[in-house]
Amino acid sequence: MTLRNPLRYLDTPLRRVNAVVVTVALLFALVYPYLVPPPMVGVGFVALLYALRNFTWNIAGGYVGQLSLSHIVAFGTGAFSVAVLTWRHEVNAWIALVVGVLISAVVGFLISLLMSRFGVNAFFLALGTLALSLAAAGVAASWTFLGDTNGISYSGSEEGFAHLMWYIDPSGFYYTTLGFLVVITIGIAALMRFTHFGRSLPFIREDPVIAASMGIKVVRNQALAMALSMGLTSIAGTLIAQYVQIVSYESVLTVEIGVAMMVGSIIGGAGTLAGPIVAGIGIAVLEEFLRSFAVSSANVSSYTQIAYAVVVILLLRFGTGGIMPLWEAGVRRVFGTGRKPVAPAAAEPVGELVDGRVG
Amino acid sequence: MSTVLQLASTGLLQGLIYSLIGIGLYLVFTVMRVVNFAHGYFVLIGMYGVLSLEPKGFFPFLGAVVVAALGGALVGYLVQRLLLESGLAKGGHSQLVITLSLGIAIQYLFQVLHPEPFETIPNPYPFEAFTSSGVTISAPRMAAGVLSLVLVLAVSFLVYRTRIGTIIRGCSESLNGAIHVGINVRRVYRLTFALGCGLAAVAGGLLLPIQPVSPALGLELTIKAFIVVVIGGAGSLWGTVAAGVLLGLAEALGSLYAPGTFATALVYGLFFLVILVRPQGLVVRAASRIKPAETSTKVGVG
Amino acid sequence: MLTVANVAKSFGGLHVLHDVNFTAESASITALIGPNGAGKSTLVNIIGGVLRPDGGTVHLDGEDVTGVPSATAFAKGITRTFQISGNVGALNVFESVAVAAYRQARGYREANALARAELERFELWEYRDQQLGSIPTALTRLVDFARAMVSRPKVLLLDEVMAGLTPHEVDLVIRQVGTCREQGVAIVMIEHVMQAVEALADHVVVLNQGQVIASGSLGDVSRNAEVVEAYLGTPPSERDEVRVPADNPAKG
Repeated sequence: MTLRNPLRYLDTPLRRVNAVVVTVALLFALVYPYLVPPPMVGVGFVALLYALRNFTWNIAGGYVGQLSLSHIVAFGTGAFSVAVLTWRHEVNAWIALVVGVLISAVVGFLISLLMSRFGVNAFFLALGTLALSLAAAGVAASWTFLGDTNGISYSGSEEGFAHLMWYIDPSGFYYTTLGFLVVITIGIAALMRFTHFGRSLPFIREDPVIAASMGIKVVRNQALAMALSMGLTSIAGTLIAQYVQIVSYESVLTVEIGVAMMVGSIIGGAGTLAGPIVAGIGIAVLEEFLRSFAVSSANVSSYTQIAYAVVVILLLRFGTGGIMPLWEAGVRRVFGTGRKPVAPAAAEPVGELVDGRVG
Repeated sequence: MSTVLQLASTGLLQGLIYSLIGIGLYLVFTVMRVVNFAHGYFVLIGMYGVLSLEPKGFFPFLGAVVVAALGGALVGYLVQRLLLESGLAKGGHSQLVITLSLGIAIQYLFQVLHPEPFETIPNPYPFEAFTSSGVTISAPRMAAGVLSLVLVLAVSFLVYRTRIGTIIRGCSESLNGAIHVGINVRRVYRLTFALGCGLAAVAGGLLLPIQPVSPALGLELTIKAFIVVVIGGAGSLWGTVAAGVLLGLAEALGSLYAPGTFATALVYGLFFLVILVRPQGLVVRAASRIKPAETSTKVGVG
Repeated sequence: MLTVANVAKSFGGLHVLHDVNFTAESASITALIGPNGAGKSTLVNIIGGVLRPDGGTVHLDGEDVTGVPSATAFAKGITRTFQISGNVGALNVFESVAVAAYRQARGYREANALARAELERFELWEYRDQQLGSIPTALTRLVDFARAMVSRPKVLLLDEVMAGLTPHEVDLVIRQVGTCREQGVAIVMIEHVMQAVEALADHVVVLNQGQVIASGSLGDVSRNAEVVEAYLGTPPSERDEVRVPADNPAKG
């Protein structure tokens, strides 16, 4: 039926507005490298990379609510797999990318399975995965196989899409990342909308007990979501490694990367499709904006980190769900809901300080 | 042998500082059940606070530590009052992200203010190193260990022997009960949080002459504080103290057998296992074993 | 047909259920009544697979389903509603029903079609885009009920679906439960609203302090002296001793 009339889906003003915005954004993203000088194409690549990173974190973190910092390990795995396999042993970069994805997915599956089997709650999941990431960084720093403290530098001579490498013009990286982002976004959107697995994830997040009583295999689906999420995060790691041509535990296994993914998704709207992408691009724009004020590059990342933190604190403090929920509410206010008005909801009494305990 | 003895005594004294940092978090996390991922960054506030006051001599140093502690407590009070309090009814997830972000903000604020890593101050104490049977301990390390022990004892007195302590423990036992008997729960939470942060800042001040400060230290100390609190368990404050000393000793003696980064990786790996197997801690008092461990898989953002 | 035999459960030395036996026939409604803390919710949690019994068995049409996980229990045809829907407020009405429809449906379209039919039957179609948290409590009950029915269950466990509804809404739900019985479902309902018990129950099981003290028709059990005492005769202080800690297993 969608084939018969694709416009049928655009039945509310919100959907129509979003369709227009997405179309314009995609067209702009496609022509962007032709409008700006090469360094700005690099900025565009970084923006898309942030978007990709946030988006993939959001699959487990936002939809299922697993506040995981083990995605740092996935990001690092992607970077190190291309560094070890391609730079050292001349394996094709795409094979290295797939290897990184598979390793990360297996690690994610096992972590999630372990955590559910032992009944670890959300807070200890965050703490445990953080400990795991720090352990991974420690191992990478003392293991020559992963370049210990020196890191691994790019060596190779071949260029082009087949080798996932472009020396001067970053637009190859830009379009590859854009391609990944578009394909992954469409894939995840379809998964969330059309499959039992995808549709079950919000139920697992909201209440695992009720989810289980609806026939949802909670533990299995959590683990699969984590595997998918971490596996795809690894792609971002591979891309950034190829772009900067050096990988070390300090550049790809830092807690800041994990926090940036988590906080970026939350700023955009955890569990929304577009939120993490919008927030990722927004942060890249902010970084570039600060740079244009002749702030030293070390301080640029400091200021963006502070900005990240302040924004997310304010969002959580005032209980809004991030950029996307605000946007949806705004569009609905301007254009209406396009549905018959239904009976107004009875206000639920909100208990004050009912239970301050941590779950 | 003397190397082992040397490392053991340094480890013990370092462990006492970890205990002090740990009981600050114990009050916040185990007793009040507020997640504070910024705890190590309050240690950082203490370190940079003392550093920027540039104390010359013993008494100015002590004064600087007190000022830094009050500063840390004030920041803690404001954080609880302005940021976390409204999230109390909502549970831990927003607290987790808020305090994690707060920590990052503090770290990079110091990064901008103090771009130079590994800053420190000269020995502020009026005596030099102690040497006995082949073991040499520097004055700041000795003093920091001893002062930490004194503060740990003072806090345990406060928690177990005073009315304030009774109120704090009462809120921990039953929040609704505390509300029913007319305790101003919000104020108790604010003050306990401030106390926990103040203790972290004191520990930071004492740590400064031994350990040069960099902004990245905050995260490491946060994790160590959680290691101490989680391994110490929910039983009593003494479990936390014991876990602190244990961590100090393990770190010091571990450096004998493994290179630095690998040893820390091992500690984190072990900690991961502890979280899996026993989130309620290893050093558990018999009494607290009766309570069934409530495990839940409920997760979500905010 | 659901058969519960000799089921026992205790929480850390506190015996919540001992030696509970009853049978819920297909195409009939079994009401599970009893004072607060009698162990009704624990029993429902055991049948639904949320809790594992310490002893005894649960059989569905002769098949042993004792202690199977909730997801398996659901797959075998045991569906339930929940007392509290408040903590799932962010979920979408349509999705709530559609995801449960996957027990019957072969895919996306079929699940959506089943969900649509069920929502229309319950007069909830206009709320399909709403979040559970933004519709009135009575409607969340109906959504919960629609969610259970869309899976075409063999056994339906209703946990106080009538609580907090207006008499008019109670009538609406009573009609729906009645229709559901006609479809051959074995319904077990925990209920305090006597209007509903009188109107619907084919069979009543009275639970007190973890034991079945009477069973039979409503008329039979209401003449039973022990039942009258359980409801009226016991001082409240004694009743409070039997608390069921597992009333809300999601909490924590």
